[in-house]
Amino acid sequence: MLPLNDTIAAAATPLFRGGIGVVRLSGPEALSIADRIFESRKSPSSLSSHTALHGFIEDNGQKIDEALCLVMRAPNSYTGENVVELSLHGSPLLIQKVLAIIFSLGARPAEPGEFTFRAYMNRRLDLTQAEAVHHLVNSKSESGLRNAFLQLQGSLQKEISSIRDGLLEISANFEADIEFPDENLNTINKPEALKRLNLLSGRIKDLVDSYEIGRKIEEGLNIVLCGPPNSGKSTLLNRLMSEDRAIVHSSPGTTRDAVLGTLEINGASIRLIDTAGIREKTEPVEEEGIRRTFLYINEADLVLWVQDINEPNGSGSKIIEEIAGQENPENDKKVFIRIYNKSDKLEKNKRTSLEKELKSGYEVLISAKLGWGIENIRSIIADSLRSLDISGREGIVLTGARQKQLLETCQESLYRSLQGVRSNLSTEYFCSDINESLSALDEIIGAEPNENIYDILFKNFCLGK
Amino acid sequence: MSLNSYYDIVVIGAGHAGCEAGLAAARCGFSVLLLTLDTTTAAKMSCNPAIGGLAKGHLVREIDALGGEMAKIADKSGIQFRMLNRSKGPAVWSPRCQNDRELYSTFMLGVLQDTPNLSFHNGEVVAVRTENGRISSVVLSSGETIRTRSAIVTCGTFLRGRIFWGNETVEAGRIDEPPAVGLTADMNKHGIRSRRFKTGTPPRIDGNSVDWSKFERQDGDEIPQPFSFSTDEIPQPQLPCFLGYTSEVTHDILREGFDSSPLFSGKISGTGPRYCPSVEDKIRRFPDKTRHQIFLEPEGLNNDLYYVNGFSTSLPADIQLRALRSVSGLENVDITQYGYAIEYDYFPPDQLKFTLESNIVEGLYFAGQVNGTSGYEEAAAQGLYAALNAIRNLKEEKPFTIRRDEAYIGVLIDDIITKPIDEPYRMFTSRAESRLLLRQDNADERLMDYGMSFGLVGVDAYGKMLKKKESRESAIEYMKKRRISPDVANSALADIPSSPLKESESLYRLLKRPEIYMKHLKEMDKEFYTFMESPACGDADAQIEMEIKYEGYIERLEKQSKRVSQMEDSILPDHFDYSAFDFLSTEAREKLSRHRPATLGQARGIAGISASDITNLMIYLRKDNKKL
Repeated sequence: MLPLNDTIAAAATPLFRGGIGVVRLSGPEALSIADRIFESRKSPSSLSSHTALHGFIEDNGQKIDEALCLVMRAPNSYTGENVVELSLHGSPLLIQKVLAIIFSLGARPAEPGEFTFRAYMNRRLDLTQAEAVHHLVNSKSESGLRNAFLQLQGSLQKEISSIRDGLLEISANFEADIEFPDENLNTINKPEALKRLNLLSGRIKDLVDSYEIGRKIEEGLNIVLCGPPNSGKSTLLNRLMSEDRAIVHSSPGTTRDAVLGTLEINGASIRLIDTAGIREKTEPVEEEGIRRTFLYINEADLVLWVQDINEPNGSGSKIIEEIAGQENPENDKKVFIRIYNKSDKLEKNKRTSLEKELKSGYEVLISAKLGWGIENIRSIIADSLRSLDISGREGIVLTGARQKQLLETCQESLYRSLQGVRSNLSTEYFCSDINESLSALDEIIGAEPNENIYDILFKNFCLGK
Repeated sequence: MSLNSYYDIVVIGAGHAGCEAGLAAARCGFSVLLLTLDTTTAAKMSCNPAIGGLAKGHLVREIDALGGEMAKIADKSGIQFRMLNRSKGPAVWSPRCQNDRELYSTFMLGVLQDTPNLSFHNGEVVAVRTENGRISSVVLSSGETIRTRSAIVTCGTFLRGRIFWGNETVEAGRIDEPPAVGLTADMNKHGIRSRRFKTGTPPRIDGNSVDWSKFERQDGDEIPQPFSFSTDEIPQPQLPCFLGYTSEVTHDILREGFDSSPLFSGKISGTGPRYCPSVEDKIRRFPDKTRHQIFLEPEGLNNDLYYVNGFSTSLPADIQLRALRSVSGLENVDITQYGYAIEYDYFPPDQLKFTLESNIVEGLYFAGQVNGTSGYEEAAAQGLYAALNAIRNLKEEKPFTIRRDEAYIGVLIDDIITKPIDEPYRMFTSRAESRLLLRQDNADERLMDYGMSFGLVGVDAYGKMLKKKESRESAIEYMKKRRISPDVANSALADIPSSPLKESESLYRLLKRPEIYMKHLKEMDKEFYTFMESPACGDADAQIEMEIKYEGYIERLEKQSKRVSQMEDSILPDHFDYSAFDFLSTEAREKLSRHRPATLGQARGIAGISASDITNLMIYLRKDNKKL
């Protein structure tokens, strides 16, 4: 149970070394706590809303940092309560120290998402906005950020409101027909209603479908490194990650299970998965690892097949054809890249001629060990991201599972209403379906079901005796 | 006249709300004083001479199931009955009848006079007195003071009523009747807010001056369906209505009067109902419509007066007459009473508890048009509901509430208390989320238990309901078991047409086909016919069709309403420290700490706790539960 009557505080910026670090306080004691920790020509509690003050953070009379104090008064703050933001120098140690002082003065550490919770409880945010803030905070990549930001600005809300308006319009027509049977109204005919319902249901489907993309933006793309044992996958992983993540050893089969790393390329976050080597003849202990490798390949957005250029007919060459050939409609978006590793072992002439032979984009010659060609791989990944239409996608993308589930409910009842209209059911039945879709949409945007329908009804029809 | 010095309940106003309130309270054994400005105008139909219509007909059936009077009086005085929306499914069928205006009032007056414990008197209440926050007496304009423990305010449009035609205005509660002027100010003094609404009524005409050949005759249903579950026959002869149209000439004449329209000039500041627009409003808002329907509805059996439905207006009298005379068939029409608009005070019902009791003055209830609603049926339903709660309150029992998924009355009460009311509130079927469940034909099954518990429903009517329910359920059971073979069914199926059977099929499954109705099954299967006819459950057919054909819909809705009632039943834990809940209003924090309701539903009934407090509590509960 989260109480709402106390003062909470937390770092509002990540605890990394950066230019500045912000500590946020919210609640009834925010100002008085700020008065006690912030020393300046005026006291923070004397400031009017949305003004800042320059001064010093003091600990037992000792100045520990130079800082800015920004005051936002209830109800015009993010949380709807009195809020104080202290901008400090961005040292994690310093921020933690300041927080410790603040906690000693009576504030409580904020739970994750608690500022947003308060904003919602104080009606400063609607539900989609609150969810978007959550995603904004948790987003792992820049384009995830952009998406969350767009959502925050209400583009999802706009689209849903617009779909909702469309449904209300249809519903108002049918309702007029039910409520005013004596009035010979020229209400919408069934073919027209069907047409509109179909269009709206298509728009909902687009939103539902966008969830998959939204999820990728938020969670990151999956890139799987696979190939025969000892082809240098783990070395490549470490190269791409610039850190020693996988255990690299020259005995085949060292990587028995997948190793994960994340990196960012062009603002998209990527999960790099290093897998057990694939070869046709295996020991039982490796089989499980190889089975999993195939699972990862199935889930991958991008497959990097790594093989030793010095072993052109090395083990696994049959399997690679199999994987590369998997371009059925379902994974037609999967990109497959062949990487020939260990180019350092080739003679220089051979290496140069090979580089020219390779199909640009889908084949690349590298030396993971020496770091040759790694930039090529990065740019290939960046290119294929673009072809996946993920990085730099502008548009509305669903990221919350709750939103998706409600939209699916909406989709389902719309489908039933379409069936109902087609099979000549009496109006009130498919109206009931449309209403169900409407209340799902209401729930997403946190709108109260209201009198909208009557506004439309009375605007469009001359009703009443 | 002799008044006692004390009554358990004083009802202020004897319109549709007041009559139901007074009758219910008196029948439950409480001493009731029903006061009105003029006892001869009790239960007057101020506007159209009709009861029921979409959603309103549902309300009347519900009033009957709870033991109210309106349905019975409507049946006794009804001169044309129609079941509206027959072309649609049974959930949106709604009964409506035209009534003899005089007879309606006369019959109701008779019932009031015959009811023990009920004193019916002339008198204008100008103030209420309180002791310790509870009403203790009412003060009459005559200076008399009558002690009481409850009062129900049902003043309709009479509070500072003002009527308008053209530039003329008169202070009146209804045409030719004075308004009640003192009570609003007294209520304001107690801290109860008031606002202004507006409504209107059309002219009445002399039927002898009408050329009937120019109108389309509209008769009622061949077999009139009564409102009351206990009415066996409709006693009055049945009359037709007539349909005609305005023309562009009519519209031009009406436009001449726009300058002197009190609606357009801003003289009337109150908001009017959009669903009951004046004819001048229709013309202005829909300039492209070349004609509007007008219905001539008989005012009664013993006169030739007609009510011009569809022609509500507050334009000057001469314009009204010229405009009507431009209507084909009304060239020589005589107006017996001009149309007018009326503006009146109402008390926004967000100041009420879910029992219709004031948030401010204990024991003071409000019902009907004073709550900003419109319609006889809406008023009657509230009158009855307020009285039942006043009774419970006097007996110190828990409040009587009806959920939205139980009845239109539940929707009505919930709507007016929780939603902002920007125009006179009228019931629509679309306001009920559970519309498919809340049918006019099952109002008895939904509500008679309540009516019985108050002792307002007769044993006969209750027994009839039980029998109806039982025979329907047994018919459905029978249909699940009874199978029909292809050789018996297929030729009949081919006639319908419906696809033939390959193997034997239950009647139940067969009825699920959209094109198959009960009558087809009875034709196919003689034994089933006998089964259905022997206990004579004739009009159960539609109910059976509904329950079997739309099982999926019914189940989904029932699941939904279960969720709602679960929410109502959400437990508010003992350990909650309400004083710490900043998201609640100060008043709600204080009241919740004091009353410590056990459930969210109970919290809703507490005065001073607003709908947004409840919503916030709900959100909080949900989050709280997630954490546990």
